[in-house]
Amino acid sequence: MKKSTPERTCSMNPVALYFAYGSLSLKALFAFRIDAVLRTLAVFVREFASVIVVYLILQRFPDLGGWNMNEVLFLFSFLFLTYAIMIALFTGFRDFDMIVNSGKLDLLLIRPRGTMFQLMAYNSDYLATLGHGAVGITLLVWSAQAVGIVWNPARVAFLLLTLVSGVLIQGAIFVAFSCLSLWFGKSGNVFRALYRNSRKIAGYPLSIFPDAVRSIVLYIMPFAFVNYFPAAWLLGKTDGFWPGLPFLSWLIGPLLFALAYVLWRFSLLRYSSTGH
Amino acid sequence: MAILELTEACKTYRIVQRQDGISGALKNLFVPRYRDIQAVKRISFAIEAGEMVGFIGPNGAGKSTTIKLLTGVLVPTSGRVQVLGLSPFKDRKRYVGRIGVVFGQRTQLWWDLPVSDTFDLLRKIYGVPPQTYRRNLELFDDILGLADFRHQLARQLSLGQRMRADIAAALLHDPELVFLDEPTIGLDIVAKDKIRGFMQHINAERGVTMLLTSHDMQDMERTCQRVIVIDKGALLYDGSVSGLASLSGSRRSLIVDFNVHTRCEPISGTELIQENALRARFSFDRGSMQVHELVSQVAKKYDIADMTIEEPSIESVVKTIFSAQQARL
Repeated sequence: MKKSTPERTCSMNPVALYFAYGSLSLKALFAFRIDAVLRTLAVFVREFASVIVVYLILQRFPDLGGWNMNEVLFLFSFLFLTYAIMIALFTGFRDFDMIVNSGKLDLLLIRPRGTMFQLMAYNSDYLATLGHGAVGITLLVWSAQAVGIVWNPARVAFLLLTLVSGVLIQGAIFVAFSCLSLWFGKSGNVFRALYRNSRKIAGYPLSIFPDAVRSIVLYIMPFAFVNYFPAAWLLGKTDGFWPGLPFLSWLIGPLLFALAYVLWRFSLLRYSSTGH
Repeated sequence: MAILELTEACKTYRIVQRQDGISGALKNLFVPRYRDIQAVKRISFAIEAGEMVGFIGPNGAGKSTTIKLLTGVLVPTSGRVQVLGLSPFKDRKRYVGRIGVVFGQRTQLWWDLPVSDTFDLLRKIYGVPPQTYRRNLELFDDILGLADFRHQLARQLSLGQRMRADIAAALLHDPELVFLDEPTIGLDIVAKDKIRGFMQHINAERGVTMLLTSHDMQDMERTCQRVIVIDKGALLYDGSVSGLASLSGSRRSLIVDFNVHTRCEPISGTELIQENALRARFSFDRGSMQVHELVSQVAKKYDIADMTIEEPSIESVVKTIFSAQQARL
């Protein structure tokens, strides 16, 4: 029996395929329903604890560099919301060391789809999305109301664009970390610690920190563009920074992600040339 | 016409040498020390469409690295790889849509989901036309007995079932060429036979070209016409299976298990190489001694529980070929 070359007409478009992966991910998670619920709850409680810490601190210092408690919680909510979306897309890069060491990366390379696409589609920690998302929405709704933000179309659009950019900034960071793993071997823990601690700094107004600390969240892990500048604009503050910075945030996300993508292509090439 | 050509392919891994202690960890980060490991050394061979070729060698011989070069996971350090008229690495996405790969040691099944879910996802990834998909599923149900466990969770399968499902998964999209890296590893005889039979069927009925690695000589004898032997990254032998069998020498061992404590007497034409109360091992030459004669002699003399003929292992075959080559030099 002679075969013709297989038809490729039935190839699924990437978006539909992404959702096909996603629905299987969910199905696999909820195969263990109680476990899934408990783990989501655990993430929620863990993350909410950090909110409570901030709350208690702010009880003692009612004014942090000109920001009151509700304003700081508003600032905080961006971190959770962007992380919730980001982790649904980039779990494969968070767990990248394990994926390489277990040989899973090789399995992705033998599929006729992009490697980054497969990493994004195959691994999705939806429990983290639910946990962080719940904290983020709670904080946003509550604090926005408490500080009295009026949601007109311009502000809603501003918020959405900011979230997209914030997701891309953190996605770029995760992709870049994975690249470093390909270059220097397993190094995830070091970078995760750096990421987490920068995120802690970003929970407070940038204006309260000395220059050295500021430069961490401005240049190394640019969290300032994920939450500080956008939140400040929505609250009508500039804290003495250049007023264009909140809008620069929208550029920084796509730009960093494009850079991370180039680095990723380059690093995969290295993986294939040097082995692991 | 050759559909697969490997020309003077070399692959050198660069490994970071770990240095101990905290200062070592810092050195690793900033001034890593590298060591080069030559996994594949100037290997050349070609495979024709429709062939079924065995690729054997002891552990660490470079089999898996060669498979990775051929599947586009790795680029050769030097030399050329050309398969289906493409460069596996450069034309990766176009190329891998036309091949199938089974890594026996790693599953591609979604662990917490039924096998059928993974199949359905693969159908979407490869864009398999519905009629092809249905036809293939029927075939796999028939020959691999997949229907029995297609709706079970992958993690609940036995190793044999898992391997069968993995092989089916690699064939869903009608690949022209299939690479199987250790498809029978860890399986019992019955499961091995099932998989060997299926591979032969796919090769014979559909003309799918196959390259399978193994360190089980029997895999080769049962399924392939041609074998390629490599050791320490270099090609040792490329030829027929029977040619390899003759190269591997004709000495075999007969292992006899007794029902009662027994003292063996020597049998002419054999050498008693090991003996304890319930087991004896005779070494004999298959060229000068008929197996059934020896077996009937032993059976007549003693009260026997079991007998096994031990075939040479791949390690001993490689050793024999290697020393034969040394002698020729």
